[in-house]
Amino acid sequence: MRVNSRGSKGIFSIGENIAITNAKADEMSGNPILDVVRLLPTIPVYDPNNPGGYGYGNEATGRTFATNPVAVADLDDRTNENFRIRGNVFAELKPLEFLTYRLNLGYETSNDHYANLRKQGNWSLNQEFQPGSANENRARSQSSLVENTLTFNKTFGKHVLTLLAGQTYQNINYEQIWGSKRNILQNPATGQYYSVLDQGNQPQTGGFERAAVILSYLGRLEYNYADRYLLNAVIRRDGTSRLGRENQWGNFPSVSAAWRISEENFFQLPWLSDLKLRASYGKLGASNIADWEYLGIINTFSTIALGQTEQIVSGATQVRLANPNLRWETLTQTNIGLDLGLLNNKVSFTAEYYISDTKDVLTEVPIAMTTGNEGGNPVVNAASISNKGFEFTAGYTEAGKAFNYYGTLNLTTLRNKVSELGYGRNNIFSGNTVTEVGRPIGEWYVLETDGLFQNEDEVQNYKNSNGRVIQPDAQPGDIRFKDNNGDGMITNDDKAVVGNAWADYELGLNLGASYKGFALTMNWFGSHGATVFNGPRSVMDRFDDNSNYRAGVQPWTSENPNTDVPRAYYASTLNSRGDTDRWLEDGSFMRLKYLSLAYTIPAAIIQRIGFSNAQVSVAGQNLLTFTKYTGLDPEFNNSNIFERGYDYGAFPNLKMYTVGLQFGF
Amino acid sequence: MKNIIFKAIFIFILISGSSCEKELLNVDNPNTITTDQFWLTEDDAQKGVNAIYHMFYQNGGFNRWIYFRLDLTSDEGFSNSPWVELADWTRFQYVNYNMWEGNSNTWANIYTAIFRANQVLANVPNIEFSDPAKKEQILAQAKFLRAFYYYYAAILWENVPLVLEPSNPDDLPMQSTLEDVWAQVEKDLTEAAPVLPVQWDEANVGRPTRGAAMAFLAKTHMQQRDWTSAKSSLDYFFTGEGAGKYNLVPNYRDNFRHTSENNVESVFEIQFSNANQTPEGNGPSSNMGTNRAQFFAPRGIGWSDGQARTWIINEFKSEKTITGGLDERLRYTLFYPELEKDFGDKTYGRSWEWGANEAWFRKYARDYYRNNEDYYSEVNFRVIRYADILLMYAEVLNELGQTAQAYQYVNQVRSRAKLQPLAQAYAQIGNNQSLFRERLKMERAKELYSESVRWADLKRWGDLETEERVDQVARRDPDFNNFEVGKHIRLPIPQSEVLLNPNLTQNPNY
Repeated sequence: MRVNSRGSKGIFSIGENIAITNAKADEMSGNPILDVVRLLPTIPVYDPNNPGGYGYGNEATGRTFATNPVAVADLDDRTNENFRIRGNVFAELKPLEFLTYRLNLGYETSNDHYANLRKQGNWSLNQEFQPGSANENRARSQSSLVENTLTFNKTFGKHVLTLLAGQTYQNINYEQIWGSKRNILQNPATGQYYSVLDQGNQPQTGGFERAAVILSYLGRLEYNYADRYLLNAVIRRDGTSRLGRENQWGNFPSVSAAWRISEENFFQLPWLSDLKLRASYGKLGASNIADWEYLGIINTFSTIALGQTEQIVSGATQVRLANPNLRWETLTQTNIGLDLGLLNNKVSFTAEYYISDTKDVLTEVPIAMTTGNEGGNPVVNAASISNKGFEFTAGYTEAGKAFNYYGTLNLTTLRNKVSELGYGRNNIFSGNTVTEVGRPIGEWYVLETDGLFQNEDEVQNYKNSNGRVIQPDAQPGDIRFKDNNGDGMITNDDKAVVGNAWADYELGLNLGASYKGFALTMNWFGSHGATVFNGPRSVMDRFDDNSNYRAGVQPWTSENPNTDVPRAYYASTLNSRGDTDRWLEDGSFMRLKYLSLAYTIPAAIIQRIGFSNAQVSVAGQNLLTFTKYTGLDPEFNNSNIFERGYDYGAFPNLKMYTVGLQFGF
Repeated sequence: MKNIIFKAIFIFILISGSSCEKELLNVDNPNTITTDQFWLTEDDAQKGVNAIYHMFYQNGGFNRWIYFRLDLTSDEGFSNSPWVELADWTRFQYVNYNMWEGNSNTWANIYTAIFRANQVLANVPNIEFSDPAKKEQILAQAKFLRAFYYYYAAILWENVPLVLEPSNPDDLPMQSTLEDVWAQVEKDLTEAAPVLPVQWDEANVGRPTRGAAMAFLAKTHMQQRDWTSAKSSLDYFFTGEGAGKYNLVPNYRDNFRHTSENNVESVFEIQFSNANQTPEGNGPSSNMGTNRAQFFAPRGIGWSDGQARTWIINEFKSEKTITGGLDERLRYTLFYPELEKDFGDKTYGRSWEWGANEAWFRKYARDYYRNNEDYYSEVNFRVIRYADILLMYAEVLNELGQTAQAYQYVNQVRSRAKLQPLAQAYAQIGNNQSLFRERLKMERAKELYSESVRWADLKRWGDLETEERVDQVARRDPDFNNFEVGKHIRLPIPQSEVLLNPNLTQNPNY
């Protein structure tokens, strides 16, 4: 629910807007998409002989540790409720016609309530016994904002000048308390659990807080001469509590200029309605990390049992290492572009070249286990990366008639390169990727496969230059790996860089049409050239695990030699290795992201009811996808910057259908 | 009019006053103290050393996975787990050297414990103590625990880096040879032993005693086949201050139950507790128990990821007790098909429902009071008990050519098991060093089966160094048919460590 209002009197205006939302989610437990595939089809969903009443593997006829997803969803019940109020109040003072002072106060608060009821029962074979337990937490987050801006705005003939000076202060904090109990009460007649925390025993409780402050000063200049020469300059000085004490402040300037050639007197091409040349250079800082990453802290939670009576004694130590000198992550973006408008801006065209350098990316980087670090890798200024490319946009608009339509095509190319790595390293290995200075970030580093052995002769004839049989224990149907270093053995030294997860180009297509109050909008998005790792398939296609397989999988047998799936061999991981190129696929796709049909109810009708305007719409998201990727969804997100192309089975983007009603009054 | 402007500008300047700026951005962490604010008081030192003990409760060590590295990899056990990769790491089929449960977790655990010990050793000397002896005892405990973990690192990977200072995130330590690691272990134990008390008071039972340090020192010498030094370490128990402090408990089973912990036979024991029935980790109220039994319990009761080899049953049955019965140690060592027939015991309340040739480890199982297992077992793990000391002493004496003196120590162990003295049962040995050695190996196996000492034993005896010796082991445990001499005697270093640290090279042939 959202309410905005504004009022003014003389030189003074005041306004507010406030939005209130409440959302309750029944969260997912386990990973049902993978679980459904793993469990054997011969095992029933319900089995009254098992604690909890659900079916899962058994020693005699279906020896698998796969999880029953229906059981997990029922026995491990999680809900999350979030109540949020967001609002701001502003006051504007206009003492002089060209001078405006504005004070903006914003406040946002959100209350979260999470509850987890673990009912008694098992969802997997040989699971240890767990009594019914309840775990609950309540949290509150608050964010306050104070913003002061002074704007000077004056037009001198053809010169338009705007100057702005501003200062913002933001305070963010979060507090949580949690509690849990075991052996909670269950109604023996109805089976209902009483999951309030007064019930049960073995209480555990805890809580924690987070807090951060961000302070900024900014100045901006906008100059416009006859809409022909445009200049824009900004200087920001940002300070954050989240960085090392020496590095809290950063200065971030930017400047951009544009020349609208089509406004020049010497330029008179009637069909060329707009020609603009522009360039910009800017710096922005980011520090999206947790509040105290630069601080080494002491963990006081360890307890040990000592003495004949097993007394609990506490310990304290440093668990997680920290880098105290964390500094701002800086994004420097340089753009040179040309905007073209033809035939009264019916046809538009933009070409742009961009260089986007991110320096000192703040993220976690794997460190040696010999440091004894636990609790997550410490955040460090991990890498400096540069992205370069072109962006082209072409569009056609037909407006001002009964039937209007438009179309815009957008193409972006990208080349990614690492210029520096944290800790002075030359390369960082993470999962199945390697990141090396001078190359794109997160390249795939895996063993290369080279088909399957069809018969024993092929196995024995697969030798290196010294005549050594490379895979002497292989059987027909096993994977042949490339011995890239020629030493006659397949080891980790044979791994090679095989592609990366960066797209060669990305495509966007927006189409729309409107006729007599109806409006149709369509947005397409496509990405081409990324190589991604199909994590779910690497789990589903492994035969070394007693689980179900995907329909139609055809492992090699001597009667079925024409396949790329190796011999199904239980009890060994050799054919199921995760670190091979077997799981790398082309992640290119084209998707209909958004389609909507809206109807604006004629003003005459709607004003009779008392509203000034109203609109009805139906829309759909992610309706169509074209891709060769065999995983769940080629448009997935992996937040690890080194492994962004690794699909770990993230829940796919939902196809959504919405109906909307909008009123104005 | 002008007033309003001035007021606005005044407010603007006030809010942007640079003097309060600095304080605004210095947001302290309200959740806990920082490393700069710690290591200042005696209490801090005590807490710091206590935290090292907490590593016993983490999955990579004696809470879970180290039993796989020691008991299942040796010829005592094997794995038939449907989690094939886990099982592969007990039968020398190492494909992914980064496997967390099979390799990396234990490596990470060991170095985390060492990091905690290093923090104590670097920071506690700067703290003022009212009683300097207390400070020395805290440092001695840290040294013992550091040596403890380097001992196991040496047994498992051999060529590990020695980290002796608190870590920084970008540390890339140099690799050491096995000899250097042993030297460091000896140094730490030799310095710790004279400072540790012979016995702790009631409230501190569980901390290492002088005897625990001497026992580990002896093991370290023995692994290097330095029998003379080993003997002088073990003399502590027989002619030194430890003499008379230890004895064998009359009932063998009392070494594996929570009802008889820290008994007179215990030399060093890991204290487990079921007070927190929660997951393991570094959070508040984390698990202080052990998962061993849940993972080693028979199918349908626990995960059954580890099973026992059955050759030891014939060993036990080859000799009757002095009253003509069966060796009671067999009863408490294994769950096996004839358990009910031989001793009248069911397996977790069930009659035998598994294979005719199968068996599971019984030590540390809680079948004596419950019919299932969970992750919170309170049964202390006896890392070293006096029976081990006696057998070690016998081995050392034999290696030094004093075979005749060795008999009495073996006999103490045999006598508790109600067996005849060794000379009567095996008269043909006499004072023959190699015959005595072979017999002692079996005596050790019968007494200490599945107590996580056998892998070190096999290495020490040279049984993994030649093809023919390995073949002999393979007759007891066919997993050893996969064993490659010169390779599998040590684990591969986790591949991520080798890639990340240019100062490390992978172990040979990996």
